[in-house]
Amino acid sequence: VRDSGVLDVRAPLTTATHVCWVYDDPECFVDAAQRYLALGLARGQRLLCVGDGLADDLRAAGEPFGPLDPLVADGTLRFETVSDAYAVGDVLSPAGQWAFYDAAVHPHVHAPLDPPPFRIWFDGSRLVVEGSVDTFAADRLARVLETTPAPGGTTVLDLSRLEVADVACCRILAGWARSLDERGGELRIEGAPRSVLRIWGLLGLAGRAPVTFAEGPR
Amino acid sequence: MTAPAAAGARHEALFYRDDEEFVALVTAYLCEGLARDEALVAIEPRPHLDLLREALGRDAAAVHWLDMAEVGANPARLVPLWRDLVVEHGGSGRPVRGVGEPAYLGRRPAELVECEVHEALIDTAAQDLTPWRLLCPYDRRLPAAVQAGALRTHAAWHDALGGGPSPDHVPPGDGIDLATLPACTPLPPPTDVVLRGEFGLRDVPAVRRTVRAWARSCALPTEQVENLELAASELASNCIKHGGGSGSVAMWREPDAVVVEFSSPGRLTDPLAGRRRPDPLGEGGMGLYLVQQLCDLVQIRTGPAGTTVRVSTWAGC
Repeated sequence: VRDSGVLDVRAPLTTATHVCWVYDDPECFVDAAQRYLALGLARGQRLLCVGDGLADDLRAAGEPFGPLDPLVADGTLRFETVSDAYAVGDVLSPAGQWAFYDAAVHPHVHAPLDPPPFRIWFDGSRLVVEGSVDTFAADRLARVLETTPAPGGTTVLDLSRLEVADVACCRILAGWARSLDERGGELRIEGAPRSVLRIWGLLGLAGRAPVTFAEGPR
Repeated sequence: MTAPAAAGARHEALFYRDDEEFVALVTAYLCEGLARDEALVAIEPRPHLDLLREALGRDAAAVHWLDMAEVGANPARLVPLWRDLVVEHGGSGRPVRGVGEPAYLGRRPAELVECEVHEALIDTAAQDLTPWRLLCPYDRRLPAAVQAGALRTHAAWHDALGGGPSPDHVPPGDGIDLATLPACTPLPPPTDVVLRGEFGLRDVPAVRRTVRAWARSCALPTEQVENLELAASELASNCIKHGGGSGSVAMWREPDAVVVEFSSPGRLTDPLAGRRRPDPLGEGGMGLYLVQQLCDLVQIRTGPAGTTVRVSTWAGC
């Protein structure tokens, strides 16, 4: 699962690189983590940190690559605890791990040479999609949505950063809305681009998928 | 006008010389349906719509009126509309009697061609529905080619003096093929400088952006730019999925239109593609339908050499 041997430098790391880093004490860990994360940030990548207390440790280290809160707020940086990431539902399974990783870093894992057509991240019950979802990316979106925790109640989907959405994208969103409805939840879409609203109306999706549309920060 | 009761679908052409003759013949046709307790639908351009309402007086309330210039602006939207109307009004088995004039005076030549394509397909498209009957008025002042097309696409014709079976009519069937449909004449070549490019899967986003930028440069309103971009996205995707993984896009201006054309090697085998209201939660069949709903005119030509979809957006409308 890693390149080979023991690595003692972080570079060169490429997209989809998987490395193992051995550290001696918590201080070394924070030092390695902050330098590794800073490298990704410099490349314009999103940062996913799975570990207990890492956010506090980075703050204690003086937020070496800038204030953390804005990065978390815009989806660039995401923290997950070990229990949340590795044992969703108290069960650790390869399928669950794949789904989690797919949702978290997708689509890098599938198309490492192409720029990702869309990014997606979670903020509690709020899901944010950014970029382009066309017919060639719609299945990826479907896979991500299928693995989205839906605790019930209202799930908010923020599309205010979605630049392109075609028929296939809307079909996926409608199907997900029906799935949430069947599980007792409901979907609220905020900031939908005009193309989504137009497609929704022309295809008669309003009568087939229970979705509430609302203005967003667009 | 009198005509035998329809035992099933019946699609007739009516030729008239002026508004007075039009009103007399169509009013008689609608009153006959009224006497038989049939459901009545009239899809006419605005001047005729008002004339018929006035002539029918209180009986006008029994008719479902629609403005052809609105609902049939793109003639390809009429097939799903007619199916919806027949289902809505004939759901209990009640016969539906309609009058619809897609090819009216003032239509652009390209629109009149697509009206004939529509007329050629509607029998096949609605043959599974409850008994319906549709009368299509044609003004004698329309080009001769349009009137000849009406005789090819309607089983019977009438005018003020009489009528009968159309000798050139080709009965619809399951084997209808856009490639051999007489109405699907070759598209005229561009009349202005053409921007052309080839694309593959990875170029689809670039195609979208290029069409959007070009539509903006033509000073189209924002909504038309967005519609064209959305249509381009669907058509480019269709080229990739059904055309062997690649396609070409061409863009040019006509005197009154902005035109975008997609071509790919694949052949379209379903003559009703884009003319059926799709199941929005089903698989496929939605892209071309959406394009038909978004764009002013869509012309599809297909054959062994491939498929071309030409989309026109009326400029300055």
